[in-house]
Amino acid sequence: MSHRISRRRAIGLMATAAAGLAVQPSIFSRGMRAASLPSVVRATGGDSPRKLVEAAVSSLGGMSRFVARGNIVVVKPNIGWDRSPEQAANTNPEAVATVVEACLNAGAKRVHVFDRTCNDARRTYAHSGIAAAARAAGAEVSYVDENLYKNVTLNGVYLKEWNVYKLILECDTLINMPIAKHHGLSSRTLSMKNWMGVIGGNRGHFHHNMDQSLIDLAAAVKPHVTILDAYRILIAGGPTGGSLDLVQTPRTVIAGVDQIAVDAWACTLFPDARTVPGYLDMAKKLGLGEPDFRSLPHLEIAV
Amino acid sequence: MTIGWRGARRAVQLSVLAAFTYTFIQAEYRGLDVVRGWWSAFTSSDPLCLTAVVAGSRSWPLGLSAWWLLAIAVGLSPPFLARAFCGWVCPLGTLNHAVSAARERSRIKWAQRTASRYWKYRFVILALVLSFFGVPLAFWFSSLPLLYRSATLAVHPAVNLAGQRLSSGLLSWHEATGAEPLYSGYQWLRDSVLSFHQPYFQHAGLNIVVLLVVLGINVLAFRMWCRSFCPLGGFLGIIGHRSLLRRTIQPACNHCAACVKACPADMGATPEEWNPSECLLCFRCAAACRKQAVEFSWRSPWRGTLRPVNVPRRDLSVIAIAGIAILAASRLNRISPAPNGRLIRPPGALPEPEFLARCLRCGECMRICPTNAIQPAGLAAGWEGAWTPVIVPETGYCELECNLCSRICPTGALKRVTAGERKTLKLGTAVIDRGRCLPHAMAIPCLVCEEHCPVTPKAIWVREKDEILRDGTYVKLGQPIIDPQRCVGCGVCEHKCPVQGSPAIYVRSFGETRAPASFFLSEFPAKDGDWGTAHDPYSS
Repeated sequence: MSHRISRRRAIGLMATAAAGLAVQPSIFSRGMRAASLPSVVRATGGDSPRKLVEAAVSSLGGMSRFVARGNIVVVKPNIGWDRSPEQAANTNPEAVATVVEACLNAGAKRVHVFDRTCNDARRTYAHSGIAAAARAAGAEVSYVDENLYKNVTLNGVYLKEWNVYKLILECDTLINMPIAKHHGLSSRTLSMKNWMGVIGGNRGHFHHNMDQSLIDLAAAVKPHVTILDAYRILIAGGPTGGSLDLVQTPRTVIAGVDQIAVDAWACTLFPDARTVPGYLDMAKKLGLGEPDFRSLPHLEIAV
Repeated sequence: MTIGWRGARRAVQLSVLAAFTYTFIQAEYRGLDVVRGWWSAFTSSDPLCLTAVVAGSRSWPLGLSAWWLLAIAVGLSPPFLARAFCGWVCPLGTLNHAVSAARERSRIKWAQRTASRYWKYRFVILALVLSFFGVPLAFWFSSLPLLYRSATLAVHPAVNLAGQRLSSGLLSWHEATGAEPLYSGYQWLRDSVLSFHQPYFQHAGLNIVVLLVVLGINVLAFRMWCRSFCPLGGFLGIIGHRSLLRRTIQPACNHCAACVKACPADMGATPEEWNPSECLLCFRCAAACRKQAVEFSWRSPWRGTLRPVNVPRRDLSVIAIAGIAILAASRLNRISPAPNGRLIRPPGALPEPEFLARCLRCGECMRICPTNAIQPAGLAAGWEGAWTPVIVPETGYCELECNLCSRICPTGALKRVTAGERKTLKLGTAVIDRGRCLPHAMAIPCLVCEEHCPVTPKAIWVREKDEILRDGTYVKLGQPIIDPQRCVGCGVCEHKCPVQGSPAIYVRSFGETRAPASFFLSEFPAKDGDWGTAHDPYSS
């Protein structure tokens, strides 16, 4: 019966704890539950992104593990590029719609879907198919509003402070929905790099110290669950792609509570499975996640 | 009944102005790659521009849409309806009328100037003569492109900026007080009123000045722009100097000259005089007459005496000399045979001389461009090229998946290209400034340009290199290298380059599809269409 506790409630509970409770109950209950469920799941097969997402999420314990009744949820897909779903530069729209529906079925009050795009947002939202699919599923799809950032102290090694989108800071549940792609600078763009879509300012600066930037940002923006779309992946020419020759179809969704484990597993889907982004080891050292996903409770399912 | 005509005129004027505003608002990009022909209906209804396009391009412009039939209709109207187009339809005329009427009602009581009506005839003759040689006086000053351009480059950015300031004020107020209606107001402005991006156009101030001068001179004399300067008005006046329509004075006239005073145009000195080339068919004279002695009726255009458009012959020689001088001046700046490297034309642009002969400088492509990449040229294309569209990657890049500008262009100066054809067009070629590029010059990792490059395979490839650092250690990093044959010149690399001020990668126009001779490699990457002919478009 226990479910994830919203940030708002958590604050209330912490206040109660300050008043005399010895144990912070939300951490306790979450830890008990997590021990019996896998941390990371890989679902493969079939020809339906919807079924893959449903299988992966239910193996993780269902969306109610992350979303409580009345929660405000942010689903953050990659809508960065003026590309069609077949070109595999943006998250699969059907996968996004499935997650939105699952959140609403779990009792979410609102589900927000947005991305700070690289190409013109009006074009990417339409061309990716994500805006239409997410709206039809019941999400509130909005363009990023430059006025709604908040300066956040990151105290990272490279990033000391940065503007983070307010919806990210204010939501109860944060769901990361990247697509697995090749990337010229960071070799792979997976769940960690997807957070560049929730920050303001000149993102070009991240590229001068990409791995450290992503680590610094990850310490501040922590998703409750990561659902990585690898139905189609870009194996070269990323992150923009273009030609369908660059697309492979592993028909896979990897979901997990540890985004480093998700990223490490996603790397194995590429033709050169040994190429991994440099931040995986850095994240392990800092305790942000476990790149050796096999050491975690993990599950492979065929759909 | 006469009051009825006046009311009808006002209703038509306001409806047409509303229609103009509606087509203007519709042309805002909203995420769908849709272009409707009627969005450029107003710039397509200009018979002077149509004539100048045909004269300048020496061909019946096949690129013109069916909406140019409107221009022919407008051009044929003066013998039947005098300059009713100016009096009833022209949206700039309506604005001029409003300025003059406001001045009339105000307490400003300085003497009205008498404005010579002949300037517009001199002007339109000069414009027509020069249009054969590609000098765009008609395009710059004919009322319809002038109004669309002013709305795009000056009015809309100003209004949107004001609205943006208002909305951010509401947001700050909401943050200070927590009042929800303020946030709702903010959201409403953001989502339903304001543009997605604040549009920015270079030398916007110049466009504001031009518009203010055109509108402002109407306080000196009633509709002074229309009666003295508008080349389209002059053009219609010449067409309509033999008119089927007549204004006649009935015997009841007591020569009070109330009609003469009421005329906003230039009917003459006595009630009997009338001039179809000047008459706006506004019926102010009929409304002013207490004896109901003013009538309009149809007669044979060759009967009776009418004052013809009378430009003195001496003026014609002055116009000829002025024209030659202007032409000479316009050619003097072509001392360099090489095209201006910064002159990056939007996709579908015809070779330069043809492009200049057809481009109305109306600004519709700048209006619809989703990325604000298309800017009015200053002097980059010679002074005749002022206000033609040019891509400035600093403000925006050309989106590879988008062909909207080529579809809205009313004259085919930007030849209509399909989304597929557009991807084969090369607008120019990017080059890297290795003295500024971070991985090349300072051993700092970057590759933002490579990340955004939209073509397959990418026109920017990465050379792995071990660079030594100051402390003696080595760093392995990727340096961007351009493949000039792959590059399409979209400018996204320049737009996104983190090196501020003067980007380390930038596009120049060489190698553009419409000018293959400008490429430094003999093997030109053109594939489809009739673009790849090896002629130099700058040597016509």
